[in-house]
Amino acid sequence: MTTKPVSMSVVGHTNTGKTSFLRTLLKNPHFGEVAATPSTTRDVSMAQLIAGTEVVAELFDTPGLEDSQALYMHLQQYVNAQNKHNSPAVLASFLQSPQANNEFEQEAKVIRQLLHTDLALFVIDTRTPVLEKYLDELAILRMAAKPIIPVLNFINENSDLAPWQSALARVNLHNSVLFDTQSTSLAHETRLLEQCIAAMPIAREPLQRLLKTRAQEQHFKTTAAANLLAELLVNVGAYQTAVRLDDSADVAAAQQHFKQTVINAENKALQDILAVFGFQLGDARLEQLPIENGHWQQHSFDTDAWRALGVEAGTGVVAGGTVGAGIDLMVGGASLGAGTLIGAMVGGMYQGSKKFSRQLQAKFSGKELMQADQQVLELLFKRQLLLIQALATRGHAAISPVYLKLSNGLVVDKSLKKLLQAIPRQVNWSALSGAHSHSSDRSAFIKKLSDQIGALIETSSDYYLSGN
Amino acid sequence: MIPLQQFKSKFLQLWQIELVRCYERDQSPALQPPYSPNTQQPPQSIHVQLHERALHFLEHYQLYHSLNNTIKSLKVMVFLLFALALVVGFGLAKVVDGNVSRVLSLPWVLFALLGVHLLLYFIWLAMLFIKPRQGGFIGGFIQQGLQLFNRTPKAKYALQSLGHTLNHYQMVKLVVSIFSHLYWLVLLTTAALILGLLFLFQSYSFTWETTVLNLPTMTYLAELLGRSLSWLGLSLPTVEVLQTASAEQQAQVGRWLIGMVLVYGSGLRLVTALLVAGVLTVRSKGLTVDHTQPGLSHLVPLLLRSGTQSVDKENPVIGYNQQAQQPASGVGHYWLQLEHPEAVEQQLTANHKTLGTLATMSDLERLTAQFKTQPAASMLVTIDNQLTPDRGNMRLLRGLLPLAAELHCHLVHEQGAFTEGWLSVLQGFNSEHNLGQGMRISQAEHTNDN
Repeated sequence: MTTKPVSMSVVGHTNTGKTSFLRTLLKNPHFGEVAATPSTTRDVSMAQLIAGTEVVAELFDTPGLEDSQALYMHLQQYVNAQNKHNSPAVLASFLQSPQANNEFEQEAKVIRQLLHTDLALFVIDTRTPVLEKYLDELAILRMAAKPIIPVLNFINENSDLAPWQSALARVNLHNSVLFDTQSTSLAHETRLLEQCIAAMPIAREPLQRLLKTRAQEQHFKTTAAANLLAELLVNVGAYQTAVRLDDSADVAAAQQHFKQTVINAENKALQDILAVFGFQLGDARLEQLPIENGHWQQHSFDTDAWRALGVEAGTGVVAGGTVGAGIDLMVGGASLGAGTLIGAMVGGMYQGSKKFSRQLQAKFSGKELMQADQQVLELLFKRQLLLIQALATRGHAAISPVYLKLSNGLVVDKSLKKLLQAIPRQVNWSALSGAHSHSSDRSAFIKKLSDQIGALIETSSDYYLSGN
Repeated sequence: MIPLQQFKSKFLQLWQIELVRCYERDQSPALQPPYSPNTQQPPQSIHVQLHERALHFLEHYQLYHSLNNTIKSLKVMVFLLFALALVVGFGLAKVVDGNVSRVLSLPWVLFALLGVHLLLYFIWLAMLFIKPRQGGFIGGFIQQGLQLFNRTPKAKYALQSLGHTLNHYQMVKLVVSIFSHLYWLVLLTTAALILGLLFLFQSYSFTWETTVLNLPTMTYLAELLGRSLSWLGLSLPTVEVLQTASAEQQAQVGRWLIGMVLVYGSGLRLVTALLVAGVLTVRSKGLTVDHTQPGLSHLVPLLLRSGTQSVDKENPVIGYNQQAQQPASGVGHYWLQLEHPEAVEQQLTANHKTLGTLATMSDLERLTAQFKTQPAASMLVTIDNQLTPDRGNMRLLRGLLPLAAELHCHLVHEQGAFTEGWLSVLQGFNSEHNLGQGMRISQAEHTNDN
């Protein structure tokens, strides 16, 4: 059922983070303009909250209230015998006055918008003391006779919310919600929307649909990021390149090419993961990540990067070891000989022949195959996982930089290790080799790996339940 | 077939999305031009949005041509397949002409006509329960075959994406089944028609022949076969009768044989093809793009992002300019705190008389009353630059101008969150009121900012 969208005005003093709050709610880091100077938002702008194809709510970003004390005094002029018990009429009279287009033009926009919306979200910067002017703002907003939900912004573990909560309680506002635009969680959004439902029971169904969509979106991000990581691990782990081991120049060139291919693959995955969470490279919010121009500052073969993540030192690239093993596996050991191989191929093992053709080709041309070491896979896994966990709770309005803790406490459990060890054997699964394998086996493996990664993201971060 | 059309249309959409995905995954992302979804239209599902984007980029990457060529190649392959079915069907019917005497062993003819079909049918049934392993011989063969018709550099993406789409959405079995059943339908129907024509214009006689079976077994088999079409009113003479059958009874066997091919051959394939088509139709209803796939997932936040609409634009305020004049001189140095008390360096306020906090309009009225007749030589206003400047506190500052010959604004935090904002606003205030020496702005150099 499609109903009229709920319209909500986001109001508050200047620089309390109204636009940032909207950015977070809309998952849009480019909504409006954010700056630490007053009157950054001068227009009233509207954006929609969408559940599937239904516009559930229209959110109006309003300019900050800046001169509420003078306005509150000024509004007393419009109170008369006819409207003394009709405060919206007082505001309407003010909007007709020349001051509404002049001295209080910015405030008039807020009031005009508020009178046309269903409810107001009053954004409060909890880092500031409760000043007289804020209470005047609240008094003016209450004159519009719309439900008001105070949004306590910029909260952290040191925030003292009591002064604000008691000030709000004194004007009978007991429904404040906590919200931090720097980092967000589904729990914060859920509480906010629940308060909206309580304030506007008529909009219960669409808002609940929105809540459901929000939960699905969160799940999508986890799943998609886990998919990207799983695909990266398969592409890198299964990637092989032929090299003549007795030619040191060839080995060096091949290693260089191999490493660059892996680094590029990781950087592409990095950019895609950022985009899945609605972030883009170049955003100020990402400045403090160990990322530069879309690349990890320490590439995946950097032993310092390994140490930072508790990965054992290794060579990064191994050549030769897997080649013989692969062929032995194919022919069932040397005792069975080439006849078995030919028989197997004639017998229709098209897939198998494709799988081992690269090894055979290399073997017959006197080359060995080069593959990434397990440490590289482990590093890729840990680093991207930590990034995903950091991004999962990152608010879209966050201006302060995110620090990625490259903790070496992250342990790859046995079942995951086993999966990572299985990848190098599947040599035709890598898209980096130019092969475009899309076999069911590969898809099933990626799904399995991705599910495990997804579970790790959800359990190890406070993605779903934080915000208490 | 309308339901199949629906499937075709949805499948084509998925294929187009996959084609662009394959191409972009293979190409450098730097080549990808920016794409802005139309945010002015009503919100659409992610499937529709990804499809619209795919259509845009099919054009941009010039992939339409290879897609259309691949579709044409597919049509040619299907045409060739059905032409082959006609030829094979014709050949199959000619099994009855293998004997110059035209005395045909009924079980052999029956086996020749339906044996391979039934064998493959049962294999197909068994395959339904076996885990798919895509990328095998048939897939490779089809891909190679299609490449013969389409050798352009971008053709590989169209073929890859076709395979990926079929595989990813688990439609390989269903689509291959449809084609295989339709192939057999054409083949067996052709065989039945040719058989009918042969029986119409040539004389054949049927016998029950065997080398290894005894008479009771053969009789039982004949009875069993005879019952198989009795529900259609087509009966089969018994073994004994058939050995000495009249022309009418031979004709009866001929009709029965055609009936067997039509019912257990074409009919079986037709019903199965319809069932598979039904499953495809049901499947196509819920068929939507898997946007969690790498290459698509990163586009979702951008495509689902709501557009922004400006509803009340800024109007430049004309004619609002309240000028305030400072007195040329005054008496005494005073200190007041803007908006709320905040700790300041003692030496800064050492020679100043405290006036308290200036937070409200009534505070300003109080000060105005106090200094109206005798302005101050200077007023030091300490400002908490952790709080934002606004028009309200600038109004209060403006109110102080007629009350002091010099206004000294001091920002109390060395690194306040709004230091830059305050400096900019105060400098603007200074020049707006032409204060010159009448205003001083300073900032704490060492504070215990956390």
